Amino acid sequence: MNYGCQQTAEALAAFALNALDAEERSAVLEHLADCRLHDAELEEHRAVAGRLPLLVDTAAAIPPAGLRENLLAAFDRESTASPVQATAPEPILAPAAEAATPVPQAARPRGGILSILRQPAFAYGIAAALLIAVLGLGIWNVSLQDDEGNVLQAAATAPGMSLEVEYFEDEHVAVLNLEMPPPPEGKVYQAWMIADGKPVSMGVLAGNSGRMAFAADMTGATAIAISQEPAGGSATPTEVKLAAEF
Amino acid sequence: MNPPDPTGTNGRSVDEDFDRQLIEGLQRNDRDALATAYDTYGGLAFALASRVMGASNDAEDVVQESFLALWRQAPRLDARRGLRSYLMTIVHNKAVDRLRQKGRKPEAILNEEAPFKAPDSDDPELQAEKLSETEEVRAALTGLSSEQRRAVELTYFQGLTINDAANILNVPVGTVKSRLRLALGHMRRRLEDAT
Repeated sequence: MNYGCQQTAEALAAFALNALDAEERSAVLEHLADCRLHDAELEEHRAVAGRLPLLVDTAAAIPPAGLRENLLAAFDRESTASPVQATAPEPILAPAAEAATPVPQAARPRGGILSILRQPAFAYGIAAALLIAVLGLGIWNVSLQDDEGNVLQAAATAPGMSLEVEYFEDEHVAVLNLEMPPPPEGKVYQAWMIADGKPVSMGVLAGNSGRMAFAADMTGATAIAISQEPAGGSATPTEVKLAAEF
Repeated sequence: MNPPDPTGTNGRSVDEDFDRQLIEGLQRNDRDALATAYDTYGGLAFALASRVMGASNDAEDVVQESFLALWRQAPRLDARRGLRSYLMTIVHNKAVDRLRQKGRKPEAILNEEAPFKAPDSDDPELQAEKLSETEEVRAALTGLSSEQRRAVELTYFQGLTINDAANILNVPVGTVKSRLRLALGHMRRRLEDAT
């Protein structure tokens, strides 16, 4: 589903009210990622939508007494424990990925893509040549954050490859704009969300170029990475091609 | 911190300075800041989640997850945008996501009407004074046509998609989109005129 300006404009109020299904929401987001013409109207719709909760009758639903205590207890646990565990995101539209062999999610890797990129030592036992090769591609990262702070952006390029990421925090949707060379025979590209230095698979990509949207709670995520994997994907990244940091 | 009334009905709206203090506290992982945020906005958050989901147990989970998400996102928050609005967006998103995961049948809510908040006062003297923010929003909503108001009620307050709302209303999906667009536009103009 590809949306132009007119279709996006018609759906914008419903989008602001969270009334679109996943497919249409993704289409709107993909258009908004490229087109700034709807920013003002969207902001107006959101301003109104943000005040609708005032109409809810707070006397009709009183929070139970234990809710405050439970919240603070959860805060205490999380603020003193390990950093936030990211939940595995779900691709919004990935028909090709659905047909592929499911990627095992149970095993958590011992290290992370960023740790591989940044430190001489790495946890996977992957050859040092990989680290050198990755750096040798001249990967650079640009972290951007817009003025309103509700859309996180990141980008990375290397010769013949580019990755742009926009994460819409309010909607929990990540839109990836990817340009990669076709993978070798028997290989696929796989996207990863990096949280706490650990990669969480976002799934095997349906193609090697274009826009892809993922429903993902990326709270705590620090980067998105693309790796090349055997067909069907891998539990842990083996050959990182690009990593875009927020 | 002296928390203002998040609904603005005490005559003092939640202000930017208060939100900024809260955000800074959340960024410092200050437990008291989270507690104050809950004390200020928890009632409204729970009422909204309950309204959308209709089940208090789920509403508790949604509210707890929402405040924790607010804390985790604190480094990226901007007080100028209004913490209440931001938090309620998180609450609404999480409530709708959970509702749709559970697959509540749209026809089950065909005849429900939203239990909107009652007017703050019927005192004619108070009517001459500046309306509270809640009353301004209520006036803006009641000023809509019944079709537009029903579209907002079904999609926002009941958490339905426009597809499900269209089935209930027996109109095309495009008609629901149009009604929502008109509704939000009318409300925006009404709220701007009121300030």
